[in-house]
Amino acid sequence: MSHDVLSPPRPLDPRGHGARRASRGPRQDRAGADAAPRRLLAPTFLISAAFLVLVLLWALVPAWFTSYDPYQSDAAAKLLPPSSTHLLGTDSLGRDSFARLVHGTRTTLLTSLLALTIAFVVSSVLGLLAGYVGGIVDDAIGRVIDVTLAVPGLLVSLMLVTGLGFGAVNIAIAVGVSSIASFTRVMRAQVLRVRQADFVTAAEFGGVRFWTILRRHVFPHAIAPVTALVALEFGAAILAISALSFLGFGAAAPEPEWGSLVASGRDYLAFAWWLTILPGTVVVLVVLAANAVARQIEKVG
Amino acid sequence: MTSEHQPPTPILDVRDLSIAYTRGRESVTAVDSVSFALAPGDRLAIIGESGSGKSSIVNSLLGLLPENSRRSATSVRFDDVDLSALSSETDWNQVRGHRIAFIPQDPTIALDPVMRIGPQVVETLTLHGGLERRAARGRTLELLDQVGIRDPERVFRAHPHELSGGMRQRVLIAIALAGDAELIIADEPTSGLDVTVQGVVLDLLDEVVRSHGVSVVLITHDLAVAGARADQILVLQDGRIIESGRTAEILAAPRSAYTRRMLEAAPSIHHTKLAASAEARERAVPAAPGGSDRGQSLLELRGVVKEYSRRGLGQGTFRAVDEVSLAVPAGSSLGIVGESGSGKSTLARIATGIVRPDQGQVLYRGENVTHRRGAVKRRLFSQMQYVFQNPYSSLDPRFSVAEVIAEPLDALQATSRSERDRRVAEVLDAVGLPADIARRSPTELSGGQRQRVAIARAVALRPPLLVLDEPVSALDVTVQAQILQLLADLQAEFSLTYLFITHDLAVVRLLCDDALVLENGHVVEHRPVADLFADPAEDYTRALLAAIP
Repeated sequence: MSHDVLSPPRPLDPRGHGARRASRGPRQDRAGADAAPRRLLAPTFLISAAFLVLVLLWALVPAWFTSYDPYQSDAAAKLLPPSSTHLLGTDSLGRDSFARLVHGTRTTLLTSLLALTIAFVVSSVLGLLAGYVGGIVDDAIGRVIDVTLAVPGLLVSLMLVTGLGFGAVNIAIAVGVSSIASFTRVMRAQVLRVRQADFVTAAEFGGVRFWTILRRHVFPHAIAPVTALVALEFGAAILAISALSFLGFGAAAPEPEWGSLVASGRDYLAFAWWLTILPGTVVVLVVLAANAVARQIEKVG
Repeated sequence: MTSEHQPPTPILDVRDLSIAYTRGRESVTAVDSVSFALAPGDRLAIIGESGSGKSSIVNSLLGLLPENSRRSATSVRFDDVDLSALSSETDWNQVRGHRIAFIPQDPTIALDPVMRIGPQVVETLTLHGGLERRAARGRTLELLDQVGIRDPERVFRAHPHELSGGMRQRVLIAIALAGDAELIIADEPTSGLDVTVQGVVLDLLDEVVRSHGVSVVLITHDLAVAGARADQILVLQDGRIIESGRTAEILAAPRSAYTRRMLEAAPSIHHTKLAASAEARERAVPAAPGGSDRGQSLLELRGVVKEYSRRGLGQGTFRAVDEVSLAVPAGSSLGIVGESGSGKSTLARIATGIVRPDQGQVLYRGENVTHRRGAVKRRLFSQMQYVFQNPYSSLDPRFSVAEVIAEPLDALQATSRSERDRRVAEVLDAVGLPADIARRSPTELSGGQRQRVAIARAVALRPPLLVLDEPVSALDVTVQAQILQLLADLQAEFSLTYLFITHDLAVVRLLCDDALVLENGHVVEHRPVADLFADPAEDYTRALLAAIP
């Protein structure tokens, strides 16, 4: 009955140590159950979430936020500092920096999303196979992951993008592939846990086919922590995508993109700092907000 | 202070104890005005099924109630201490672990896994007994010897994981003695142990009560254990005392219907095989087309061996199953009995083809299916199904009951939607569940209902053979009895053959024709159940028989 669930018999070590250890139990229980809704109302979370919603709206309906055309240059308004007409100033061709930031959001977010999707899909399949089949498959996948994890992610991305060539899709692939290793590790660990459950063996007894068991009984019970990781990696993906665009691997020249915005302002840093610092600040804020939201989701479970 | 029982001065006196838990805006009463008193040297058994409030009472006596609980009581007095007045952990530590010792269900969590056994006992002696280290060491060895540990020196140096469950419980009892406890609270102290060890641990507890004059509160769900081990019994249901008194009186003349049901449900009080109910026999389907094969062996194992490599230090292999041969005649039930580690579950998995034997053969209706794969393997799954021990783990919580039952039907017998729905409704009815349960999630069901769903899934395919792996040991006693009756009924109704894995010979007597006793992977005895009970040939079997409470 319900109260047995609420108060699992806690061990007590007759020496007293256990008593202290055990007494921590109830508080953790509470954190899990009662306190969860309240935690979602924490101010950091609220501010972060609101900011992300705003950024999402930039991506979906940029026209709501700026009336300037991001491609329209204006020779009379070159390198203007931030003002009420040009919120983030203008660049060397007189284009409105805020308009370029807002219109570039879609490219950056879509590229990050694509990168995460690639990482999620590939690592799910690898993690399921490694964890469920085990044996030599597990060993093979495990070794490759270990090697990949030993190399910094950005370096892997750079190597890939050099081979694949430039473009938004290619940097998405490059960033996605570099995150596969850590995702696969988490997925594999979850699968190892889930496959112990009797309902998985029961499905085997029920004659359910291999891939169906994985899809129906293992995958849905294993993805929760991986999803949390995806949310957590979202900020890192934006950062990596922006870094690659900054280096010039991303979207082609006139198209606005966060990383390339930062890069293009670099030459004027001495007298038009806003071109670099302000878009850069936005990237940093988005990454921080994404992390804050992801951690909250992870905590609440 | 007045007392109903008028004992000398009770060591524990609980009056009108109520405990409620709040979750969100709801408040659930777990314990409702419970009063009892315990005289020094007395043994009180608190009996109830899961959810009856036993654990809440224990936790309140140990100051371990969670923060979302509210407790009220006229008095909770332990000797000269008012437990209801203790608030800080420091206050509790004066009593708990020192004067009140606790023996939990799972001894592993009460011992520090990274500390050797010796120092854990020594610590209690130096902390509470004021002994200096050297003297404490000698006293520890003495205590370990007293609790029946044959090799105290070795155990002193051992880490908890190197000891068996029974040994760990003994160590905890030794720690209780070291602290000079006046009251031992034992919460299902033996339900995690093998049957033959259970008796020994309970005997030891009795011995301690006699020799040290300690009082015991024994929490159990097993009336048989309470009957043999307690002076007083308190029967709890839904947080209320529904019966209390001297043990002999309650066993002789239980007043409440609930206690009577519990008494009747105890598997050990039945001495013959359960008969199928009249309705089940009426509903029995005539033998499957192809003629009756009653008497011929449906499943046969010949010299089956399974070895596992030992993990860690590379100590070679370990034989989980050692040259086991057996035959299950169609329509009969074979019980495979053994303690944990005897290889019975491995044997069941070999029989069903989930695990492959290293040597030997598996025959189904005379056909060698040892190395089945692909289509043959799938065909055999519709011939034999498996029922797991733990109904909380064997049903996918994301599925509805109907989906759970329909899954093997869809996978193995391509049927139309309506046919499938009809079959699901049919088996739900056969296992005694209401039809509207089909749309619900297993997580909303009780343990007994879940096990019925698991059984329904297994019989939905109409397999001739069911392998039942401890199907009742995770359930409450009264529920156990219902599930055993259901299995007897289903056997008659669908002419099923059972391979029944259990640690409990009493259950075998209820359900099986033959019994195979397994010890460390090899067969000790394989005989008809009646013979086995009348005249056990082996010491090991006698130990198992003696373990029936």
